[in-house]
Amino acid sequence: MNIKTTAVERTTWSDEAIVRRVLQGDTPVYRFIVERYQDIVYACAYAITGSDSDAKDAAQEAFIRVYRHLAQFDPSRPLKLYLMRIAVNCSRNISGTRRGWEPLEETSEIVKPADATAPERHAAVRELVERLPQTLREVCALFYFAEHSCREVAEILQMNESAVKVALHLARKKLLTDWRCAYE
Amino acid sequence: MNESCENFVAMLTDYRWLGPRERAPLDRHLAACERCREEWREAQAADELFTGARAPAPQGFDDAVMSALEPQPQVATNWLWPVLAGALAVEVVVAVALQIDPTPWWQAVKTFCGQLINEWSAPLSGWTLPFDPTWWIGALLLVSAFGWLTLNHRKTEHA
Ligand SMILES: [Zn+2]
Repeated sequence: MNIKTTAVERTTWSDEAIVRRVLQGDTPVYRFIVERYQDIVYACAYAITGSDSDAKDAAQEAFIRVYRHLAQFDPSRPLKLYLMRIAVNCSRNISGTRRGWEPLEETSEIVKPADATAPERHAAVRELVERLPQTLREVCALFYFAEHSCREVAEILQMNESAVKVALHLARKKLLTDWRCAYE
Repeated sequence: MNESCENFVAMLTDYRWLGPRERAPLDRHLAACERCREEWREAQAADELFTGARAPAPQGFDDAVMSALEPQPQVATNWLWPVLAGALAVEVVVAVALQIDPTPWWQAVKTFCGQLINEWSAPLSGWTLPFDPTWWIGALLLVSAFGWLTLNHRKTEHA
């Protein structure tokens, strides 16, 4: 079971190869799946839940759930889509159980200097995403943070592809308007 | 906005996923249509806005996930029937070979085995053991097959 491979070799393995090894009992290689997708899963969970700790819980739950159901997953199918669908569900569940969190109100102002540093600007973009209605938030997160195509976003969210395009168009319009109001 | 513009606007959304063949007509349209060019600029502005904006997962995230994982349950392969069928097949092949092979080499092996068995069985107060080598090879195969299966069964139980 212990084929001698370096970490570098392993990180070039396809998702399918890693999944097959994990199913053979090589649990530690699952780390490479986690490392590969943790940023996008976390970023999407954050966009949906709007909180650091909820995003962390939802993202961890997603990876653990995927691992537990790996035996029922067909390794020749794209793992990333499967993972993101579960991540979206975990995030919705968590934000649904927390009553305290509501999308930021339209009226709350983002007051940022025009010469903000890159990290400040990035944080401001994430804050603008949080202000979007739920569907637009999910579409935006999957399209921009997880870098999925509209067809893939539609598959993950079980939506019509043209509905995804319309949502993306609306989200983009709103984001750019808000951004220009705050910065330009 | 006419019908072809609508198609191009729909394509704009997925611009980064388009291949060169799909991009060519879109680029031609953009060069000619100011309205779509405006849409295009907005899409580019949004792409730029999101560049680098993704928050990384917190430190130690991967460790937390890995420490929560149980080993995957391993389904033990059922070796019983394949192994027994294999032993039986070998036995049949050997039996047939012994029956049909008339070469002096086989004859010599048979005679040698027979003498050996007779010598061993001599002290056993006249018991005669079956001489046919097929019988012995078959018995040996069955014993090894069962031995191997038992070992294999123990190994999967411990795993
Ligand atoms: Zn046009």
